[in-house]
Amino acid sequence: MADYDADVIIVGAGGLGAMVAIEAARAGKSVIMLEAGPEIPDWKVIQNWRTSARKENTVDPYGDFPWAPNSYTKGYMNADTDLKRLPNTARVVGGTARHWTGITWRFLPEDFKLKSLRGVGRDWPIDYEELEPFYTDAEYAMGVCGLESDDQSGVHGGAPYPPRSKPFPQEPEAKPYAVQRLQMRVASKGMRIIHSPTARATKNYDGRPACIGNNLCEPACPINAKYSGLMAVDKARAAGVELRSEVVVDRLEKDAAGKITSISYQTRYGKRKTLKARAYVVAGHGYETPKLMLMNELANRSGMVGRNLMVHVGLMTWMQADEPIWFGRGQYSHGSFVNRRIGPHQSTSAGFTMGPWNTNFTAETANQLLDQKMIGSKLDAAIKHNSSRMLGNLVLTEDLADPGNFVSLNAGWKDQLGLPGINLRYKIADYTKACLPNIMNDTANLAQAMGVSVPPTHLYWMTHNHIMGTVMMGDNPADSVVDRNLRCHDHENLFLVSTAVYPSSTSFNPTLTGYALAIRAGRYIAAEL
Amino acid sequence: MRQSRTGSITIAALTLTMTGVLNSAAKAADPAPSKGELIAIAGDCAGCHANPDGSSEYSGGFAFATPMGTIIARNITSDPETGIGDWTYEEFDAALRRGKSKTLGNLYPAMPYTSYRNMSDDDVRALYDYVMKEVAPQKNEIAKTSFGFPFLRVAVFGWNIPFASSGREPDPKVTDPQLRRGDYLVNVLGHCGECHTTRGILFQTKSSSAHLAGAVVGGWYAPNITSSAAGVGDWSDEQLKQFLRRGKNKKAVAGGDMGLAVRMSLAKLPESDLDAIIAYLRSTEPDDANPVVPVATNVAPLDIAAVESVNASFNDYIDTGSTDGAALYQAACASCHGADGALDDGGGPNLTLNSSVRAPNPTNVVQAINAGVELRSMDRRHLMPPFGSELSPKQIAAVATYVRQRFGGIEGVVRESEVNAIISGRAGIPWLLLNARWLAGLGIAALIVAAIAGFRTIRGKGAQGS
Repeated sequence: MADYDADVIIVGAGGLGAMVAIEAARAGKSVIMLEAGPEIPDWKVIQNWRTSARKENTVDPYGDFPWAPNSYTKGYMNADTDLKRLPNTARVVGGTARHWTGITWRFLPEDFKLKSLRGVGRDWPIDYEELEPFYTDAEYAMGVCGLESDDQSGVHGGAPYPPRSKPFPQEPEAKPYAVQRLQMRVASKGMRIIHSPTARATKNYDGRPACIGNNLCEPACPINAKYSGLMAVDKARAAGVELRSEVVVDRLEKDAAGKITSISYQTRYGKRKTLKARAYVVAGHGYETPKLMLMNELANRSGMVGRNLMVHVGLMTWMQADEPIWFGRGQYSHGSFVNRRIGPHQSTSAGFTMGPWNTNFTAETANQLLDQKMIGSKLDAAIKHNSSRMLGNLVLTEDLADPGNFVSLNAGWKDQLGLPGINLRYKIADYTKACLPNIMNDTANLAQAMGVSVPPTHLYWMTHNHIMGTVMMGDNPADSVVDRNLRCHDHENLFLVSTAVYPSSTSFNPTLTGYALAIRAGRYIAAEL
Repeated sequence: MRQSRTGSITIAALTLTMTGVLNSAAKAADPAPSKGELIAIAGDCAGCHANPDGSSEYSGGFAFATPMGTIIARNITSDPETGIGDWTYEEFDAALRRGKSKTLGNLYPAMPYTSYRNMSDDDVRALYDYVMKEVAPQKNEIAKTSFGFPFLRVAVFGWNIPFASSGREPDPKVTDPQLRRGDYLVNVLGHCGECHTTRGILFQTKSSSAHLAGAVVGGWYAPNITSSAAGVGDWSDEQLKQFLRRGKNKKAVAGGDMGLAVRMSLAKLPESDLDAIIAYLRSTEPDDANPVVPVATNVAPLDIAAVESVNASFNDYIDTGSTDGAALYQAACASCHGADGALDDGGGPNLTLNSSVRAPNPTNVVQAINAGVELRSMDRRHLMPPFGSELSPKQIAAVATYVRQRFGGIEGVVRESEVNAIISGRAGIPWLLLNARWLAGLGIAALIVAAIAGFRTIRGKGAQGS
């Protein structure tokens, strides 16, 4: 038998890869994690952010490196899309789960059966019940705060839903004034905001201090009250995992039976090194994972590698209430309207959720006023007046798997190491657009309840930074890339651990489910070795 | 905790702000502690003997690293095999008041028997009864503490001859019952002087000079707590009580072992005992040693643009080598403490008021940055995360210098070597002990040389004589 460098080699030291590493290492397996990006401590990220002139780019503080380009690198993403901006990724130790907002809704039992219940999209090969224990473990790993009495479906008559085996590890935070005012006033329209579970310490948790409302959930919590993928990496290292950063994996070799025999990377300076393991895991998120498969012609019997890109199309509306409500105190997200999340309407139009986006709008307000050529003390007064009344409402719509939306290799662009760029095609589906009337209705009700008299602005389709579908999970090797255990149908010792395995997107944030799948995969792989 | 929480959840949707009120109202009152338990609390037994996994207050296992070696706290539950369940009252008393363990022999004086030796017989009996009858037996086998040469247990025998009775005796001239109680709590049960009184060249506690006037021990600085303005003379009763009860007030935060003492002991003491401690501290001989500097009133507002520079290339994003204290503070510290150091309430503490910043040495500032502070009291938790894994000793020195200069108005620079001494716990340890290993080796070598020389001389003389 060949000698192995490790039992498990994991490509990608983000949150999901690190969770696999932790599970394998705790089961006594030797693990090496390989990460293209560098290691940047939290204080440095905050410094990079504070001094960044590109505040619209929330991954900017994680850098943009010639050997590890990201979605903002000029030329890297060759996009054909009607989205104004592409979902972004951070290539750094800790991964994109460092710059996330920390929103951690579970998917609902119905979400796993989209095709059977609504006749559209795809079913998952696993159901909620099977994933539930791993959801719980993921919540405790992250320190999620939440309210288990909420009906998170909006259609179960207000009874607690979905079912949970354990309470949330933490209680909800205190409500900021803005959310209290919203809840009181929108009730007149029959609208209800329920608490948004978030991976944020509300009391000190696992060495993290409680949130003090810095109101900087993205790009990084400056005090680490919010859970970050770097914490998973630190835990993995404490469990004995070896991390190599600034190394870019570009080759995987396989034998005649399809078994992966070695993996090979280049350092940022182009030095090559080849390693062998008993099992290989690629956890490179939704762009880099399919890219690595396509570069090596792996896992693609179905032709689905890179296809079915789902991104969570959204809408962000700004409006001005008739009273100061002081958005921008507390955390970015406290709650959501979930009544359009699931239901029979999903047969013809996307399910969606929306919620107050609790950021500070001072800069944007000032820009609007400057456009009106306002200056001097009049400008100061107007900024204070408007920004204290401004509220943001963020909509997130469900996306369906469509092979016509995809990422593929762009051989016409090369990075410093000679590796190709990415072509991306994404068109907003009619299914998504069909939910617009309901979004407008709900937004109008919200506006009326808050006494909005100035027309809302910024009403355009945008995207959330959620990438799904590009290495689809399914039972059928003819139309999916990985099986229910995230093992490639074509390669018995290659596992893809990413939110890119989701068969459906749901209308809530994907990270928690990714963590649950990663924990499950980590235990599965460790048990098999 | 869960119970009180579900009670509040039903109406939480509309009145979440009331949750705190409901929680405290629903909290069931604990039965009044027995006399023995109160003594265990006042003696802060759990401060050392609690199991670090949180499972028991007395089953031991916490490892205290010292420059002499690592001490592991024993299991003092009534488990007969791994604890002290088979100890007689006399054996218990010998360990508590004379440092003689039934199983280990001479205890290292980390066990404060030099203070406990002045406990009353009644209290020792009550404590014994509490441990044997009320503390649930917990099985937890503790590895034996063994220091290397020359710190053998037998050496403690020699140390005990002059120093076993070094702990300060309560002043017999004091008649006021509250002051007598305070004296007993501070000097005997609470063994405050073990940290707050400077130690002699062989680490013995000093009973008279510099009593409670501040000392560096265990890697942290225990400040002057005498009635002098250099101590707590300018603290109000309210501030003192707040600190003892919660480990935090406007002027100070209990870090390190003091945080533990608050959590395990002081926070649980009855009101009357806190009053007695405060009354006693007020009655202490004012000692002006180790004064904190006055609160700086002229902290200049920060010109952020002068501190923060824009990244020019991708290499700047990963260059973590800066030793610019102002820039490091702005990135790592300002989100809680504020750019001008004065944030409190939620974040904080306010560094311009903080007595550790204004202390005569940088020990606690360095330790807070390096090791963090986790303070739990009855109703509150404060946490400063450790930065020791993200910042080098040189960077910690730079931040400590910046904080002390800008918010404390203290001239002078904290050096990297100083940070290393503080972090390693070597600061405050007497020179003789730090160097005992080679000194003792040298001593023994000298003895051997002398013996050989003597032997030769005798033999020589013998040979001559024969």
